[in-house]
Amino acid sequence: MRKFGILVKKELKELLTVSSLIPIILIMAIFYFLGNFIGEEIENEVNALENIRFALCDRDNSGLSREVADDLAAAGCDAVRVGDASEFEKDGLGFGIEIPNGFEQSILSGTPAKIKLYAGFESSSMTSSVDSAAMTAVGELINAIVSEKLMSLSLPQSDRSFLTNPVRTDEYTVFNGNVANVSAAEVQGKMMLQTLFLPIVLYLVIMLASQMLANSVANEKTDKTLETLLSAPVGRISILSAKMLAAGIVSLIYSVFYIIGYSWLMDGMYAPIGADGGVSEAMSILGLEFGVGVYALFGLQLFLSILCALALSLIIGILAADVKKVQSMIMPLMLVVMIPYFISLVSDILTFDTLPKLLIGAIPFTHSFTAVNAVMFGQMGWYWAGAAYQAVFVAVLMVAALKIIRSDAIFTFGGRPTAKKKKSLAFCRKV
Amino acid sequence: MKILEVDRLRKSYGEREAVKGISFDIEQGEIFALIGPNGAGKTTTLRMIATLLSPSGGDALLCGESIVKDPVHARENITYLPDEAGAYKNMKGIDYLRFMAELYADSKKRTAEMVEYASEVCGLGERLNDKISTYSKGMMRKLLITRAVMPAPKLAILDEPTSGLDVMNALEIRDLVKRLALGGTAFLISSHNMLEIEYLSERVAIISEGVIHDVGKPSLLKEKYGADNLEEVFAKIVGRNVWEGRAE
Ligand SMILES: Nc1ncnc2c1ncn2[C@@H]1O[C@H](COP(=O)(O)OP(=O)(O)OP(=O)(O)O)[C@@H](O)[C@H]1O
Ligand SMILES: [Mg+2]
Repeated sequence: MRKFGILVKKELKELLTVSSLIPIILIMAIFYFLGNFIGEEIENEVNALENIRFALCDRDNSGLSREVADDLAAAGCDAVRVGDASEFEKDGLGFGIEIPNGFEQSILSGTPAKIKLYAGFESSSMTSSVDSAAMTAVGELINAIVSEKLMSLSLPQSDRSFLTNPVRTDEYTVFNGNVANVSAAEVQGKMMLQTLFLPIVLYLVIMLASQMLANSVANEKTDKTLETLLSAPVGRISILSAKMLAAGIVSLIYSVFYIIGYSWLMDGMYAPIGADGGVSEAMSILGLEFGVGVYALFGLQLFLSILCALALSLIIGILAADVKKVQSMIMPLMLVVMIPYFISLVSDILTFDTLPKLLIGAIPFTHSFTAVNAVMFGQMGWYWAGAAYQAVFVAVLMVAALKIIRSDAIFTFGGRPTAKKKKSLAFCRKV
Repeated sequence: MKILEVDRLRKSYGEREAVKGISFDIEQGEIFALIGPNGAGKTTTLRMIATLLSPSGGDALLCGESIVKDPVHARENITYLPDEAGAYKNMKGIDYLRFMAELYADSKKRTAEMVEYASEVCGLGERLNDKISTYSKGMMRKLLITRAVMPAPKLAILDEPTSGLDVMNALEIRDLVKRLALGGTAFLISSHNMLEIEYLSERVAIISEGVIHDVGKPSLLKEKYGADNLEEVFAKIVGRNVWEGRAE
């Protein structure tokens, strides 16, 4: 038992070092900040719900429709009168509602009447659906208003379901001036499905690439094959860029496999749902199709992020004394990738305020996570600025890596690579 | 002709000075050994000459080219075998030789010549077609030493080429080095095994704590210090220094 205790103590000492605890503490800190940060974002959105303004177009212009408008105002709704509800975005309004011609007539004749709801589409993320939530609420309010009026009239044919639900809604989505007869929620759902796996692929590929390269360099250090290469008549730039390029190619191959695999997963999961009730068609009307262009631009971003990760791991590999050290040195890199990964899972970085947006944008990997949304929602400035930033980042890191490998750091940083072996000290015996 | 001229070379790691201004020369085709205990500064010296570490002071000329001012050209005259080096484990021995040959050769023809020469000399025979991960320590060392000599460099720098090997393997490697030196390649070898080095090298430098205490042919050194072997020579030199140090 005593010996067992000694063994456990030794194991704990080896596993529980300061450098092994730092990553965990960092993760905790990141979770804490992310939680607060995202919470704030959601709160902002929810607050926005209270003073929402929308466009109202009354094509019926009947007694009933006018009463509805008055009651809405009385209920505190800020409805702005417009000629075309689908153009609510021009006036900076949240959404549009149209009361079509024949509204009153239809209600009085005892058949449910339809109103048209127009919602904009800004982002595919979870927290940005506040406008459409408000719109649904207003739609329900109109229904309640009309229902109340019908009840007070005590009409002869008192079909209960008609009395409680006299108004039906017909949802439209507006994007870039295109209008399609589909609800924003449906479009959003579809888009989320399509882009759901991309952050995961990104994260996995970046991690894989860095591990691969840093380990390979550290291994070459322990085996001293790197030392051998450095003493050969080959340029140091060639040695470094060959490693980068090879790791980059392998990572791209991995990404292709991952993406194919995930698309199979998605297809397999959603095949039973079958036809999507014209959502795909509506999305192509809106110009939200997930086409080759989007894939290509995403691919470019992915490659840039891989290069960033590789350049960083190259430096880590050169500096780390051995493969074990690589693991703890690569941890911070993983955490840095995790930040945009988590945020993009729950929210849309592109819709943030300037300061947080720039802060997160300072992490080069962020730009891969925002690439698809930036392309889809026309923020090409952000996309190209991010790409340029990453390119500069890679260049600076490569120059740094070159400087390091030309210096003594490879031998002197982080201690001596291999533990000193036992050697015969034959000649030191006795003087 | 002098292949290597080392002139007051020094190296510090932070505060600690590992090599304290050492000087020596190596002639063409000569086998020169740097002998001294663990931590004497042998590896540090060899790395500086192999242009991997930059000296803190002094210089060394490889065929007239300075390792400080022009490491890229100086490097072309040497090959270097690190202490306890390994090779790419997933490669076959022959593929490793070819890979390294391609780095040194400037034509396909030259590559083929190098590989052919190396496979003859290394003595691994059929095992060259096996993966390096299956090699014993002795086989690995033979492979690496052949790799280091196959480009026929002006100077081959071998850090402890026989350490950790059994007597038979060490003997074979000694013979290999001796044979290759006849071809005109000079060798700079480090070792802490003084008995072995006595038979191998033409001249030795005795290094301890970053200082070269004496340089010369083993026979002359033994005569000078009245010793039977190099081990005794070393003991006497270090002993005398200790004594002198105390006297001051
Ligand atoms: N990367 C390093 N950082 C700091 N000190 C170092 C480093 N490498 C070597 N040293 C120190 O420099 C001195 C000389 O080391 P060196 O490796 O050159 O000795 P050596 O003669 O090759 O020894 P050995 O026979 O054990 O290989 C030692 O005191 C060692 O601790
Ligand atoms: Mg050494």
